[in-house]
Amino acid sequence: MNTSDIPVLAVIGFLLFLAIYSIVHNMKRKDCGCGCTSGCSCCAGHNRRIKNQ
Amino acid sequence: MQYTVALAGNPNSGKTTLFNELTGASAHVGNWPGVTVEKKEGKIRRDSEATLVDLPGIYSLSPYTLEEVVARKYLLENRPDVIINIVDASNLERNLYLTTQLLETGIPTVIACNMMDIVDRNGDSLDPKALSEKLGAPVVEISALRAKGLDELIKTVRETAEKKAQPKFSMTYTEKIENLLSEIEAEQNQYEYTESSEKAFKQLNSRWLAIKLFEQDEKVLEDVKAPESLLNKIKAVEDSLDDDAQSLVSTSRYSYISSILSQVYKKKNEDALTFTDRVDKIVTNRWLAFPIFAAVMFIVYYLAIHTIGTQWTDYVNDVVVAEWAQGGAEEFLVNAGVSAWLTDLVVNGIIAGVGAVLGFLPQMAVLFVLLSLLEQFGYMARIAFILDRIFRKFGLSGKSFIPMLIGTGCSVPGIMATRTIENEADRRMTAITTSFIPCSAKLPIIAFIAGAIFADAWWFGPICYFIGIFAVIFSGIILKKTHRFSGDPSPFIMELPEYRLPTLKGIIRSVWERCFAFIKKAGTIILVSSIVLWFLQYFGIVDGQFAAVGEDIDQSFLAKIGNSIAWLFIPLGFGDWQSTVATFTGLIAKENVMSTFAIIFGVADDALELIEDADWEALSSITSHYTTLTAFSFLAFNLLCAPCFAAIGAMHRELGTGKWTLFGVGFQTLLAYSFSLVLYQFGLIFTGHGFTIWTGVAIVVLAVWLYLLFRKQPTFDNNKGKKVSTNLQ
Repeated sequence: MNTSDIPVLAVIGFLLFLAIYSIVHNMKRKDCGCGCTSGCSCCAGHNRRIKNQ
Repeated sequence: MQYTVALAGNPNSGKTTLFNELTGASAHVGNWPGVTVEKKEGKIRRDSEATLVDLPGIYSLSPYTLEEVVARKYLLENRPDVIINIVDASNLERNLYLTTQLLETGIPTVIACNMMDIVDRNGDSLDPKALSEKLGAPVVEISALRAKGLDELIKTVRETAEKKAQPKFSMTYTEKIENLLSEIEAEQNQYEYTESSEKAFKQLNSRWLAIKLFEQDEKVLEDVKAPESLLNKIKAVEDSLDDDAQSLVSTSRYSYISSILSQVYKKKNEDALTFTDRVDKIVTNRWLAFPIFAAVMFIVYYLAIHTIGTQWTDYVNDVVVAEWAQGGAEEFLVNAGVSAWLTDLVVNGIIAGVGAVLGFLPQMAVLFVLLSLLEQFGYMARIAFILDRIFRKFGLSGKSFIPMLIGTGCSVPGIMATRTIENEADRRMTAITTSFIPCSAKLPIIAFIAGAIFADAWWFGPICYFIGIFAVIFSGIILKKTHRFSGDPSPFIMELPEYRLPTLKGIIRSVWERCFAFIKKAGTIILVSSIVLWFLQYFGIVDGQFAAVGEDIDQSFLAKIGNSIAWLFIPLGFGDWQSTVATFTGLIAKENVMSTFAIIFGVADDALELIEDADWEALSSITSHYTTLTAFSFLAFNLLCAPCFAAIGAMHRELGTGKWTLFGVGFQTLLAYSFSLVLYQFGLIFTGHGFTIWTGVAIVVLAVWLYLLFRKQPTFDNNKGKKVSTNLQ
């Protein structure tokens, strides 16, 4: 392995972590029923917006 | 003063549009009934003390549908301070039916007459003051779509909440009914209530409960134990008026509404057809409906899949992904001195995998724009209407056609288009069966087998589509006979909404929602699976050591895995690791099937290009591996089995849970396996091979599927999930 591999591996590792986190989070998600197709982020944002108001 | 406002009204009366305008939320809006199936809450922007609850669209407070149950439960148990009853002013006769029921509850109500712009456009006039006097509740004219009259609405709602002003509504029934209602009102304190319901019922107007008891409302009778004597009295009234209680009440309501409307609503010309009527006379015409529909779909498909969408997709694939992203990344990583294996992972694993999926984005964006236009204009509802009669015959809804049509391009947007189907069972069934229709990514496999193995037989391509359609129909009939998919046997009734001009804001919001979901999926599921597959393809055990396998792909972990499960496909005729691996790489993207073959069989050039050029000679190393029968069996399995990860992800999104997704993928794979097994084993018999144990298995499998297909339609008790009788057709 070369020294220049480390930053590339770090980026891939970070992306992989985000992707797996997002998949797991999506699996736990409960649809707020707003009917949109954006998935978890929309429902979470939607609920947060409502709570913050 | 903190207070709660419930937003109630008929489906497609503009509740969600009004909810978005009042709260600043961005819930999905569509010009077809049934967009909202659960209640949702938000604070009114211009009155921070008011919480607004958007209820699903309902036609009445009788609990016939899930939406009606959700809405009624909320009104009874949570008792909002005010109800905003949004009514479609261009169709008051139907909308006021629910209004009369809401007013009877005694909950303070403000009636918002929406779509006044359509009333004006038709040249009709409504006297809101007179309507308010007749109904005993304030009436405000609004246009939710154009945000008109909303300040007046918010002001009226606040005043009504502060005054706790109960509606002064009185609608009288015939004498016999009135006498019995008075009797029930006087006696209802003596009835037995369930603990949870007593408080809720006593908060409501006693007359509402009396009417519900007279109607023998199922849900109310679950909570209130009506004495036998009451039921006998109701029966006596029904006999004397020669109709059942529910019909008597609804007939009275409609008569009452007609009498009000004759005084408050003036039509410019009673017999004149509205714009919607005039358009519908053409687009739903017995003879013209199908040709118009075919033309509209051809244009959508042509623009999205064949012209604009494809040109952009090709540009993204060939230039953005291949040249810029892959080429640029490779150059950068090589110059930076990154290891070859890591460069390969980034270029041929991550960018190729994610890019292959993202490449479809332009195609889908065009498709989504066109579909959004059709949705908002109101034509989608007409398509469902036109096709429903045909689709009902094999257990699907008329709305199932659109996803399947889109699925011929790509199953991902096809499955996502099932959102337009409001019936849950139909939606799930369509999401599961859509990928049976061959998508464009499966075309290279079809083209290769048709050209190289079936000597360019003209009938082979159509037969593949026929297999897909057959699988859809077959699955529809079978699944409809199971508890989870069994539906209401009542006829399909659907409201055809008014045609409306789409708004730019609405289209942008709808397209962005859908595209963002797709981008997100490419960045998650596809990214992870691409990395895993690349790893399994790139590495293996060489000479007892963990190492990169290079060209010797049969040493890779993927080959080992393929070999370990290849036996599963022996009864189907392609129990070798090459076919197994190709099938599994097809799970990433179906285009991978031919690319994988090219790598495994050492085809020098790009396999997809060779197929395009019909250079079957160059592909002979693959063709020699198969007989006509094994190739057909392999193709049939790949056409029908679980789709690619992106499509499985879309299925997961639409089906809602992991269990449903597992069921869907399991069903598809089981059907594919059974079909290929029967095809191959029967094919062996017809080509002169002997009878083996697998022939017997194929006969049993065929018999089971035929039994599931032709058995009588069972009926189910939806409350308990048990079969209650089997004699209904």
